[in-house]
Amino acid sequence: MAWVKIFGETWRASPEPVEFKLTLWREDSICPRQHWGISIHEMMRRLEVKPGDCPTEKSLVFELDSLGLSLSDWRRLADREIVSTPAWHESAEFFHEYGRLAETAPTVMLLDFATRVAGGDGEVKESDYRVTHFVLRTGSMDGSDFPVELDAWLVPENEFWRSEPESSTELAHTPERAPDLQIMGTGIFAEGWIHLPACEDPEATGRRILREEVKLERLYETTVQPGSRQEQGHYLDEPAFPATLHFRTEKRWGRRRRNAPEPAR
Amino acid sequence: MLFYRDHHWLPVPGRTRFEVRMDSSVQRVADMDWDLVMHYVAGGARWRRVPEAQRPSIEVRVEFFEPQISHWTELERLSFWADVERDSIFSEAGALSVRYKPGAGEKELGSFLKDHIWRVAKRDGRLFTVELAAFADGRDVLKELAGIAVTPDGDDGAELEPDEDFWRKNAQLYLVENVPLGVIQVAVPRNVAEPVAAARRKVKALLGLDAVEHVAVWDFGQRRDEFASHAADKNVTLHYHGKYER
Repeated sequence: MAWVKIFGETWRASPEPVEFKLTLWREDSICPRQHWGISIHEMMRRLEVKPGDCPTEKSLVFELDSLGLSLSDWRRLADREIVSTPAWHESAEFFHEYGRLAETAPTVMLLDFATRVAGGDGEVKESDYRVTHFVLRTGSMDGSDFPVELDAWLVPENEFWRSEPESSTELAHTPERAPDLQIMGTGIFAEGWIHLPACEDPEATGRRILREEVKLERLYETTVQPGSRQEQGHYLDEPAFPATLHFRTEKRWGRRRRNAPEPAR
Repeated sequence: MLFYRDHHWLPVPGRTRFEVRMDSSVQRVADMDWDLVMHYVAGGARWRRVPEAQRPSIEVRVEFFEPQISHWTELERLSFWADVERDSIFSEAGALSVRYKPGAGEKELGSFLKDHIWRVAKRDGRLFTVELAAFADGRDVLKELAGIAVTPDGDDGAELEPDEDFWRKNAQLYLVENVPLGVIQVAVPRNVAEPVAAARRKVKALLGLDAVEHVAVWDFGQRRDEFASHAADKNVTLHYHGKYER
């Protein structure tokens, strides 16, 4: 990220991007077909690593399961503002084809790696949060990248959950304090999964579906994941069952993390 | 889309489907057991901080309805909307079973609706658009519907479909949902060499349905519990709409 500030502490810049991910459910699904989410993985490296030190000082993982977007072209990820209003929550939350809830409350995991611990790998302090409010802004497309800004207000995970629904007053309340988490970085459409209909050629079918659905032409590191499911009792699979095609949008996955040069697109 | 108790309801795929069961003696559609199941969980902003398991949920199940069909696509013509015999609990429209869980700490409400009408509005591939209205007080549904089968200017020659406002006012529960033909369970005699192939042949012969997406074979031969009565057969579960249905 170009800039990360969490609970008042500014982290050193890193090449990590904000990764937008797409799950494309089948056309005959009864859930929304496009399922966009975000992952942010940020690591702050130690400036000085002594023998026995973990080279990472701190790390942060931000995950938003459902953005509630349906795009005719993936490039429309740019130039957007998403605010976690009640109307947005209602539009973005759904049960997907696995019968699992696509959540609209992002998660934040903070890891603090202690310095040298005699005879061990070092202590790790994990703190988990949920985001109660956020504002996500994307700027104009520049090649295949676009700038991203995120402001988020957090509560500890164990304080987030409750048994009673929120009242209208609670929902209307917006935080008056500064955001607990602020991120500025580069957004990319990183990877995706296409749930395919039964077909002879999963890769060709997946490429066609992606082209038609979000106008994505170039895929890299594609992997066909055959359909199978464990069940209690005896089970039997056949090779013609619908598969899932996983893809990435860049050659040499992780090049940004290694600060590698931009590949030809 | 479900109207019930002012919640914003989210349909749960996989658990929302047509189900068919046939034991090894079934040789015609009329002897199959047909169920329609729809499952919803309350959603929207106000519930975002309540774990899914503690939110209100509702399961609407129409059990043992009797479709007069010879091919699975003919489900698109199902209509138990007007001419339903209501002399017994088990009409050809099936028996309505509803389980409503209000939320954490509150008592579940089961089978509180006494009457229902339902139909299939259209088919798109393996998805059937189901419309269902259910009533708690046993009122004469047909009379209610007849009362509005007149256009506002008095032209009683034209039919007027009731709109959402009508159902919100008159029905305790109303839904329109796309429902797949999901699962067919076929019991096959234990001595059949290829139980999956036999089950698929039977479904194709009786319902014209071929391309299956997932198969599970259940063998209760060693069971001594409540499944022991199924020990004479192998049970083949054919999934026709995604392998993730449970």
